[in-house]
Amino acid sequence: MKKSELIQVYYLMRLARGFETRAAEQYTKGRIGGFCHLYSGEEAVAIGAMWHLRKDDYVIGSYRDHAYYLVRGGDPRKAMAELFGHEDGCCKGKGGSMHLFDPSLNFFGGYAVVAGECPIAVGLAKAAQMKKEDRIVLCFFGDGATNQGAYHEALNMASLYNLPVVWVCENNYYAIGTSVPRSSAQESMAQKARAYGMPVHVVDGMDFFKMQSVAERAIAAARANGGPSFIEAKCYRYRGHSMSDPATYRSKEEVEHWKSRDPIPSLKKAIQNDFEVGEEEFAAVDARVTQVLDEAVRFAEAGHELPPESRIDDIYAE
Amino acid sequence: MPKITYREAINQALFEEMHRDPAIIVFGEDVALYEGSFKVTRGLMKEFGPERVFDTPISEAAIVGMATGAAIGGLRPAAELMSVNFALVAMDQILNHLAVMRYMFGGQVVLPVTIRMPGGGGHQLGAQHSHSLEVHFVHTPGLKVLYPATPADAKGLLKAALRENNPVIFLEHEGLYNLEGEVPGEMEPAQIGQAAVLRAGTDATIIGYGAMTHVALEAARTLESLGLDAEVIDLRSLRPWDKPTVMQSVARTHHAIVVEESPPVCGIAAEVAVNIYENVFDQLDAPVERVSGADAPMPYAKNLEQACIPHAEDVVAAVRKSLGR
Amino acid sequence: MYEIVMPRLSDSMEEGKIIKWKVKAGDAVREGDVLAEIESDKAVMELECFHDGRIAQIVQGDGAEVAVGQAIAYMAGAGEDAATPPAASQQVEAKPAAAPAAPSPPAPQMPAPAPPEGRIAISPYARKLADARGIDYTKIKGTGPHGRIMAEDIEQAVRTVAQARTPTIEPAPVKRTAEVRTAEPDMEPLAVAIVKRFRIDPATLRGTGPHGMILADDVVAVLCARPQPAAKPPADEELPALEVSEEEATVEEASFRLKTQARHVTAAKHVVPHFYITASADVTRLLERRGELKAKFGATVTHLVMLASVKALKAHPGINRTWDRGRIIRWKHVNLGLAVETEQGLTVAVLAEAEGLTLPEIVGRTTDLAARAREARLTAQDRRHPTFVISNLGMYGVEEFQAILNPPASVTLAVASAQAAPVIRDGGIYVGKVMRLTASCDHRVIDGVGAARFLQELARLLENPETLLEGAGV
Repeated sequence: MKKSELIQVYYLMRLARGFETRAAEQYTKGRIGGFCHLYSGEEAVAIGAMWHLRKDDYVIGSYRDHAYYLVRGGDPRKAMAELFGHEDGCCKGKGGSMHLFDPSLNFFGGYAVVAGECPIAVGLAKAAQMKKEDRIVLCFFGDGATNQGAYHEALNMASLYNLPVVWVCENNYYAIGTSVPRSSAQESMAQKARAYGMPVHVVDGMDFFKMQSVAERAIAAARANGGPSFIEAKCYRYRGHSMSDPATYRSKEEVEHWKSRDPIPSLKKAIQNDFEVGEEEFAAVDARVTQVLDEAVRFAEAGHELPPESRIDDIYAE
Repeated sequence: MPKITYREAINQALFEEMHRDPAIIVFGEDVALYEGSFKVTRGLMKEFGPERVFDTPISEAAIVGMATGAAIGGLRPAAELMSVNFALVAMDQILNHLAVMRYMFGGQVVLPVTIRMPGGGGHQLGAQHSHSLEVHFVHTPGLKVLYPATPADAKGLLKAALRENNPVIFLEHEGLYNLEGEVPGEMEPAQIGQAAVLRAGTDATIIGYGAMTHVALEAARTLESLGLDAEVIDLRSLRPWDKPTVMQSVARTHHAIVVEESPPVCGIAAEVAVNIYENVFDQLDAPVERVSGADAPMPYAKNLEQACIPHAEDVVAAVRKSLGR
Repeated sequence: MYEIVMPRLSDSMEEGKIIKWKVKAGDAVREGDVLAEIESDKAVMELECFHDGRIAQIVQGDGAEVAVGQAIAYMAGAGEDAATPPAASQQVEAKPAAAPAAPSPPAPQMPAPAPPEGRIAISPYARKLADARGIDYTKIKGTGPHGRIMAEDIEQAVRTVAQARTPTIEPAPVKRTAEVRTAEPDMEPLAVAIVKRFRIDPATLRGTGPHGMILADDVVAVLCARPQPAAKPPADEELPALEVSEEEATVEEASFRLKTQARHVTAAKHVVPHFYITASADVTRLLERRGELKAKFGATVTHLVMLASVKALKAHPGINRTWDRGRIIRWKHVNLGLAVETEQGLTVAVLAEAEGLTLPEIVGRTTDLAARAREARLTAQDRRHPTFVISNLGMYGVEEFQAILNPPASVTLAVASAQAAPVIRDGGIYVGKVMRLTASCDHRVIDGVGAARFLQELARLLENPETLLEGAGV
């Protein structure tokens, strides 16, 4: 990869991480309501998976969606405004944190029901296939989703119809407070997916390079009419399931262990190893991220919600 | 005018609309090769090919989710759930995804999805196969719900559903598939949200839908021989439903009787009744009468099942009770 | 200066407790550091530091319970002086937890349908009608469920009021005139509503308002002409009460049957517009055959009149109809009612589906009916829906009489005795037997011409026994 590309990766990671931190801060200030699920720690999965996508490919995922939106090219101001519930949020404040969505980015949400996005991913791929477009669908979900009925229906159908879906399982080992061993008879997510007859990959989700390499192969296969494949990205979320979760089910040692494998310092080190990049360059990127996020928060703070009369707008299309 | 069955009318609507719009695809369990468990999709795969008409596994959630995703991707899916009873497996995808997504995403997506599902009881199919679940869909903002009672309406309303840019739940009654009726060969789509006055009358207004429309008409004939003149309204469209037609009628007759096959609690009849009270209270000479199915799961034994479904005599009794005659 | 506030750590959290500060004023802190342990409504959570800087002042100490959003510390950012604390901020009182809302009382049970004391149950539509017609509904007894006043009760009150106003009850029969109405007469709105509601034929209305406008009163007058249902108070109670002393008379309570009959016959006379039309039939030749017919079939004059009536009705089916509240009932059969003398008085026994019966059949069934009537064994079927009634007082030498109608029959035929009378025939006068037949007719459904034609046919049959007996199984 080129240096400029890697700097871009670094930027996206800092942006995603920084956005989540800002979201946490604004949540504790009461500016963000409801549930807020933060991606901190998993940045390499989203960025690695999406790195080789085309603009016209489709992305769909779960409620832990801020990073998907931003990495896909979404505007941090519109994301933060949506979290604030304001009319200039990407969904006019009607969706909130769990339901970011932007068709112009081919990012189709943001779903609160675990595995609810999986059948919809099948439909997106079906349309692409029928219209003979060679776009693919990237579908994100967690380890918890792999026990849902709808998930299995979706994987079966995608394989049956040879649809261009890349299933990305963010195995961060916990579904709220229930760990994989306590919930899954088959602890290997990949093994469960293999039963549907598709190629499976298991990858270190804290490592951007490995992640993007595996994703590149899966995406190319899907695009070449090779049907769906499955990527199990082993990763870790540094924060609780959501802002309300103190994550007491994880030991401090475990968290520290995973923090030692933080994708951002790893990436920085890798860049420094391969290229001549000084601290001031990284600092410049950091400053840029801070600027962008300050602007996003200012934008959100200055905005306001839709008036109550609009509560029945946008239910039906003409 | 040619006379065809309700089943054939739906089939015709699918044929015509699929010719008209290449974006329409039809899928569901056994709809393609087997031509439909009720033979409604007969001939479709042969005509339009296995790309546009295909069979799915038994995966109701994925069937509905696939319809939703395909709609985002630019197609106009017409999925079939083998019966409304199996829709329960897909309720999350219907009520919690399909119905809410346009709104939740700030109006950024259009979902022209039609989900066809036959329902209703009366054939000794037992409690799990005999539900009338329309109320769950009618209750949910974001959906439109249609329920034709006649072959002509089955064709007209399905054409309308397939041209509608919003999710439509299209309910069919299993007991009506063989019902014959006049259906024009060339037909414009019907108007969604419009009821039909099937019989004009002056003494009481009977409101029904689906199979119960025919029960209402039979009751009206019996009432005529008793010297009572009932007006019969077929709702046809349950969400949205035609309030003006119903209110105008009740304002004239002063007596309203609503018939539904489902159990009564929080049903369509309750919805219609409350709206009547809200709109034409001062014209009422008696409380609105509801004739509903029994408040019980559907039993298997033939006599018990028949006792759980409204019949014409129940409607006649309700009309007479309202009139005090 | 950056204000650190009590964080909202869960959706439902309204206040939190500082368990322990991990930093103190003057400490340098970095993004991600843990500043304190906070207890929320759900759990003990860490207060995260979101910015690099230095703690300037701790405002709320360990153990403090602070409302979400209130300042608990101040922090200087890079470049700011941490030493100068912000303008003195008072110790903010922790907001007292809102008192839990009193649980709303359970919804009251909904069954008791009877209105509470003092309230009158009346349907909304009935109340509208009452207002429109100036009826004080508080004086009305409702016939709906639980005594609810219904529209019909108001209508009844309107009719009663109209009745009280007009002393002569029998309205003049509405004559059919040759004049054709070219334009609809004006009708006041309430009149229109009542006409629609009760399906009154507008042609029967005569307007008494300005320029012939039809008023509600005019419609009500027509309504009054309708037969009253049995539940209404008996009309004979309208005569002034009789005071009778023991010396004058003995008084006994009439039997239920008699009372019912009295009510019915009063109602019939009261409500139905009667007209009477008499024809004479020269029954000389018929009576010549009477002996033979009696010997062979047991037939009496009454039976012969019944046979003649049935045949005449076949030719004039318009007579076999009934007026009922604006509808015309066309009977599919001729149900011949025969007034039969019994110990309990006169009763009408019905020979159902009499058309097409032969004379022997008529004799047989009538004899059986009459026997049952005398034994008080008539069934409901035996009394049901006479469409034509015959009353024969000929055996008593009665010359002529007019019967009161027996609804639902629109005609009652009063058969008198055949009297010796001069008859002109074939240019000569001789003594023949002439029977007078008087038809009492319901003028709402039968007119003079129709009645006349019917009687003419009836007389013709009675005067020509061969024609009468043709096809009658004789």
